[in-house]
Formats: sequence, structure tokens, C-alpha cells
Amino acid sequence: MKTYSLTLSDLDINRNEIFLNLGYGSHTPDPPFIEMVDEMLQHLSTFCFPQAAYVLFQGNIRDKDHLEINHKLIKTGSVINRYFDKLTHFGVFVVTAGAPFDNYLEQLRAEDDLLSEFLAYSIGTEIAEAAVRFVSGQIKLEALQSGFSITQSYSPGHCSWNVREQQSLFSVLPDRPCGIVLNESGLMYPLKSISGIIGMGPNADSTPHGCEICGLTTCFKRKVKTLI
Amino acid sequence: MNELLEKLLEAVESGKADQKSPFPPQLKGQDGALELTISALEAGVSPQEILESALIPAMDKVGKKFTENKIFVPQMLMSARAMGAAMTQLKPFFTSGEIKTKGTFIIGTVKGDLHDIGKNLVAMMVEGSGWSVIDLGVDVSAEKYIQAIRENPGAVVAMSALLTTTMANMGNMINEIKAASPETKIFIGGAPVNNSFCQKIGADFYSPDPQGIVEYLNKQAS
Repeated sequence: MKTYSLTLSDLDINRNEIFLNLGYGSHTPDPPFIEMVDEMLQHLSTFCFPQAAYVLFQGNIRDKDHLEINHKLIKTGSVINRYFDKLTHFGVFVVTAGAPFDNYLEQLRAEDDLLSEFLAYSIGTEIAEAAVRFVSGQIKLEALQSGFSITQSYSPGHCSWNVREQQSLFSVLPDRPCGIVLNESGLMYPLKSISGIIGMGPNADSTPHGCEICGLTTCFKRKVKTLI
Repeated sequence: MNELLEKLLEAVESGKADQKSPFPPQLKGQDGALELTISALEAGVSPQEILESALIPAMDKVGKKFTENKIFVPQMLMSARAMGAAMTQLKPFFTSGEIKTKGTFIIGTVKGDLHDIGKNLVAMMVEGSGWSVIDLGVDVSAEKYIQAIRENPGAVVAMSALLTTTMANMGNMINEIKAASPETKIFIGGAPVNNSFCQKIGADFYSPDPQGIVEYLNKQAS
């Protein structure tokens, strides 16, 4: 497994995504709130060191719902498998904002500082997303060496991939990758962690897509996007 | 209206918790909700009047502005914090019974879910509208709700979930709560939840924003 210990400056953190996470939709926050976001980012940079890791495997689609990687079946579902069809290589990744970030959220909660907690939480979401973009870039570099392109990244809990399948995804990774553990429901700790799969192949479809490929109308990500 | 109460209303509406609060910039250095509440009490304004003439109208304005997209969650949290600062001074009057609340509101994050920001925001807005709030925290079981209902007959119950996986727990929990206390009104909220889900699982009310639940509760109380 290739592992990266990162600083926030290693990541391409998008402030507009943070504003979206804060519920601003297409609106621009007032200057004092932009200042608060910048101050929080600065503060987080002193103790938040995200980690990212991935492993490349050979694999293939077994049926419309299942992907086989490293002799293990993962029920990614038919929505995602459309994009994995005919691919032979896959990057399985995890990223995390890390335990100190969780501890900070806990501290803010204990202090009843709801505003700072919300700011930090919303920034943490973008830190994890930025770490996915980072790891995706690393996988793309490897793919290019083989003349492959890559797909978008797909994660349990999205695009009809049940989050309970997280266990099977983690079964192909070393124990506690980047210090991440799963609870009974398949949720990851530290809280701001993302796992997923990126497909690789000569004709991998890297076209960005949004919620239109998934029918899950109750997904909170869809609600955030529809605020735009 | 009393000048102090007008200033208190403005402080809560604009999110000025205390004198040290740097926001909003136009009130920098001025007294915030904390100091203004202390001053109002010292000036002989009754706690009930402080609540009804300043705090409740301020939070009502905040809730409406949020619904109309004139302010966003961070501003709402700042107002809620200012409200909380004022409430620290009024708490003893709630305990003594000098302030009459509109009823009791029991809130928690559903079993299996640890997210609490939306739940806390609703709790603060409901408290700011004159209700007594019992916050059961996160990862709350049906048993814990039922116990709280037994201790607070007539209370309205609210459940929050952020994840599609944990919102699935709401249906069974509502069945258990309704079996133990059929008359209890149950409100659900959270990012993945919508009105059709609310109807499907037998909850009584859903709102996409805190103001909706405040208005629903106030109708129940009137």
C-alpha cells in the first residue's frame, strides 16, 4: 500500500466547496465569515495532517452488482458497475483528515462552540474530498504509465453502493489503513475519512458526472447540490 | 418597547453574544446579549418580558430570514449562541417557574448516528421560541426517548439523522415510541429526510428547516 502523510498545503482545498458545505449554495458569504473560514483553515493547518493511501489490484466485474478484486467480491451495485465494465485494474483507496481533527471537533462540542464546530466540520469535509483528489491524481499517474486512463472515484454510501459494503472493501486492504476503523454500521473513524475505488483501463470513462446517475433522492449530497 | 429590550433583540438577531464578540463588526465593543439581559433584569424588566419581547421575536426573525435565504447557517448559529448567552441569565427563572414555557420538546440524534450540528441548531431555535428543551444527545435509542416521554408527559419528540443508513432506523424507533405512547407527536428532520419518508414511517411532521418546526410547535401550543 502506498501511503502519504500530507499537510493542508499539499492539498488543493477549494473554498467554494467549503462555502457549499456551510450551506451558502450559490451565495457568497459576507467578508467576516470568509475571514472565519480562513482563520479556521489556518488553525487546522497546525495540527491536521491528512493521510492518504491506495493499493492497485487486478480485477473484473463478475455480474451486474459485483466487482471481484483480489479474489474477493464487493457489491458495488449496478450504477457504479456500468463505469467499471471491461476494466481490469482498480485502485482501492482511503483518505482521512486524521484523529486529531476528530479530537478538535470533540473539544469544540464540549465547549458548546457550535459555530466553530460547524465551520471545522464543513472544512473537514472538503479536506477529505481534497485528499481524494490527491490520491486520484497519484493513481492517474500510475495509470498513465500503463497507457490507461481512470474513472471517477466511487465510494460506499454513494451511487447506490450500500455503506454496509464498506467491510468488504476494507477486506482487501491492510488492517486499519491510515488508522481508519469501521463501526458495526460500516461508518469510518476518524469521522472525516473517505474510502473508495477508482477504475483503470484503456477506455476508462473519466467524464465527471453528478447525481443524475443515482436514483437515491434522499442522499444529503444531492440536497447540498440542489441548493446551487 | 424598552430601549434595552430593543438592543437585546438586535444583539440576538445579529449574533452578538457578549461584549467581546467581534461580530457583527458594526456592534464591536458594544454590549451583547449577555450584558443586555443582565442590565434588563437589573432595570426591573421581568424575565418573561425579556423572553417574549426580545428573545422570541429575535429568533423568529432569524428563522424567517433563514427560510428566505437571507441569512445562512453560520449566522443562525451566531444568533443561537447570542440567545444562549441571554438564556444563561434566565435559566433560574425557568427553574423557579417564574417564566412559563410553551411546553417540553425532547430532541436527539437517531440511534447509530453521531452527527449533532443540525440537531443542536433546532434545539436552540426551539428553546429560543419559548419551549423547554431536553436534549438526549446523539445515538439515542427508542428506550431513551420513551423514558424521557414518561418523565415529561405531553412532550413533543424530535429525531434527527444525517445519513441515509441511519435514517432507516427512524421507522422502527417511531413504532416503538408510538407503541409506548400513541399520543406523542414525533417530528423528524435531517439532510436525507423528506416529507414522503416522514409519511411512510408514520412520523407526524417533517420540516426542511428549523423555522418550520418552531411554527409547528407554536401551533401545537396555541
